[in-house]
Amino acid sequence: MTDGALERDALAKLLRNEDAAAWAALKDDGWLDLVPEEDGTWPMVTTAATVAGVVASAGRSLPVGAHLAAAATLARVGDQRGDAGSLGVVTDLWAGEEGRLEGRCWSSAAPDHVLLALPDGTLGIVPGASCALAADPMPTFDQVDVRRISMARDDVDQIGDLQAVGVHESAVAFFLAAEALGAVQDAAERALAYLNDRHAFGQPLGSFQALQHRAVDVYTVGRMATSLLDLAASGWVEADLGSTASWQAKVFAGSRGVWAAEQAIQLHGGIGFTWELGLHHALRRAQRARLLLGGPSRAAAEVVARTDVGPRPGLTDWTLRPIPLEPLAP
Amino acid sequence: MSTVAEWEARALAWSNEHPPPLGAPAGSRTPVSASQREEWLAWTREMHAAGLATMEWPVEWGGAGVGVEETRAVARILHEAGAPHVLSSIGTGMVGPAIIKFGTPEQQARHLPGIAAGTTIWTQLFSEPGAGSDLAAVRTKATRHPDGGWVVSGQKVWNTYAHLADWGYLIARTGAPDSRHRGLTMFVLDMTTPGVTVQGIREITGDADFNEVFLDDVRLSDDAVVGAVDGGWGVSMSTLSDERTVVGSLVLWLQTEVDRLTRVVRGLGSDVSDGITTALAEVVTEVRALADLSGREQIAGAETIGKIAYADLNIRVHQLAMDVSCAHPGAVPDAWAHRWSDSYLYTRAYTISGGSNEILRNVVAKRGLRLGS
Repeated sequence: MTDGALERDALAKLLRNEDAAAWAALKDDGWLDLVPEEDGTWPMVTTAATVAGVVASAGRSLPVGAHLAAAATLARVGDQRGDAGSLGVVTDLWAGEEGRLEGRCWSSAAPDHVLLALPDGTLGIVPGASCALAADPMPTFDQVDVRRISMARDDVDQIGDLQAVGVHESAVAFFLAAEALGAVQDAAERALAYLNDRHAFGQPLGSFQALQHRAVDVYTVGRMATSLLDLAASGWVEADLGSTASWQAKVFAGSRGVWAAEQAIQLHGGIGFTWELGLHHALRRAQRARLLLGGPSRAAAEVVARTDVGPRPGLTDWTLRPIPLEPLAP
Repeated sequence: MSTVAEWEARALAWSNEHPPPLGAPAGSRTPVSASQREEWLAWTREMHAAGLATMEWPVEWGGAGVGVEETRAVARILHEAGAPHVLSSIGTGMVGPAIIKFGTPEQQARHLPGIAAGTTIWTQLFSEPGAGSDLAAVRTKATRHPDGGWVVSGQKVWNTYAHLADWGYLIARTGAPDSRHRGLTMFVLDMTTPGVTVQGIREITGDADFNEVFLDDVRLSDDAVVGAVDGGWGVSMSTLSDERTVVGSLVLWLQTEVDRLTRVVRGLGSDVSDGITTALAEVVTEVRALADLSGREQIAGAETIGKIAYADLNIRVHQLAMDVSCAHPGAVPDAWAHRWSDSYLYTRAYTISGGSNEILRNVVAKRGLRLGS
């Protein structure tokens, strides 16, 4: 076995524990260590993304991605609370009654601290114990660690500026995408295997052309996901934690990722619709990646605003030569 | 400076000094007048002279022996500059490499200098009315002539630039009628040989960049055979497997169009609809994923997933580009509106050429993903 396979085996074994024990082991065994090097690079971010994806594939209710995103942001702003037991992130915030702040929170049931972007554009941190946490009313978010949160503004400490908020949000985008796409890739593999295992009308499902074509497109989404996650991880060398590529990965997870998760269920036929088979975890995570942090519109706006699209300085774009519009003969 | 940066600088400097022939309103893919033809061929020869057309070829045959990174970097600059289709690309990308690999020393000496200089233009003579995606069904027949050499008769179709070409790269059946891929031979064909008739096919774009080619008792000598007699399938497959480079270049080109479109949308600020922004973000993301994916090796049998995805994405991009051009006409230069609309009409070709997307999905499913076996 290669080192990579050994690690996955160790991780999988750990995930067979109950939630609390598994979480403690993830922390103690160093799976959630994500800190930058002196030179500003993050060599462990690819591993972190893999861990997030493996945990998500297992369908476990362990908010690994949220914790990693928050820990990375806290390390970036130099706040020590990143060493806490369990961190969460508020992904969407709105004004509540009597001056309270309401939101959606990606976290465990009882996070030690929660990071949030405040309405004034600063980065805040609040003790989990000061907040009221409840189940999110949208059933799509069931079992993917999204909760409704409510807090008093006075309980929130400001720890960073607008730039820190940018860092925080792109870290969240990255791990939303990593968990979603990891789970989607796993669901896609299961669907491809199922197409050969399951027989109907005297032949394997995979011999039907309509399903073959669908399977190829699902497989391709998996390959594109690898490309985008690698690009996003390699972008974690600047102060903005690879924000452009992270938002791109989020857009992809929420569009093609959702489609692929839907297809993975579809290709399993009736049994894909059962809770027990667990394919819904990939779908819920893909939807979570799409819907949190302002929905698909917000991520789209970030991608359109940030992506480097030139023009290349010093290069003449000959396509800008006007074309002659020929007058029509009278 | 890295070699990639050196080549980028070189390509940028050359491109700024060499405006391409104007490609609009018609003539985006093929010259539409004699003077445009001469201008376009001259531009092509100048690109060759600058060393930008055969970068990956071995040095001994006029190349620079560089790898795919440098080649992609130069291709990207040329796309960003708005370079037109390179009329010599079948020669430099397919025939030249095949002759380097399979040709005799005489064939190499005879053909490679002209391909390297861009002074001979080549066309590919593979597809037939009865053999498109199913290339092994080729029926153009080459039989032995009693005085030596071959006599070739048949019909080829979809032959890009055959109307401009000096030479043709021909696949014909030398084996029994039912010999499928085992009875095929590659030939080089002087397009001025008696019996060769080229007829243009006008496409839905309005242009005629490809053709039918009729071969009526065309005489070929033995030294026209590339590789072994009946060994043509292997020769053709080795050149078709350079498709990854071709798809990579197409994706880079698409990326530069997406970048132009993104600059337009960005410039519109809050005037642009949520729907356009969302659709744009999706194609920005997917084209970048494909650009990265097309540089990676895929599992055996799944090599064409990049081409399949590219062909579909290409359509979505150009539909969106036209939508933006008409929702915000003042913000899009006429030349870009023309390009995108013309390219939209051409997008259908990429879903069919190089193996139709439908057939390629079959192949990937069966050979790559091992479905149904």
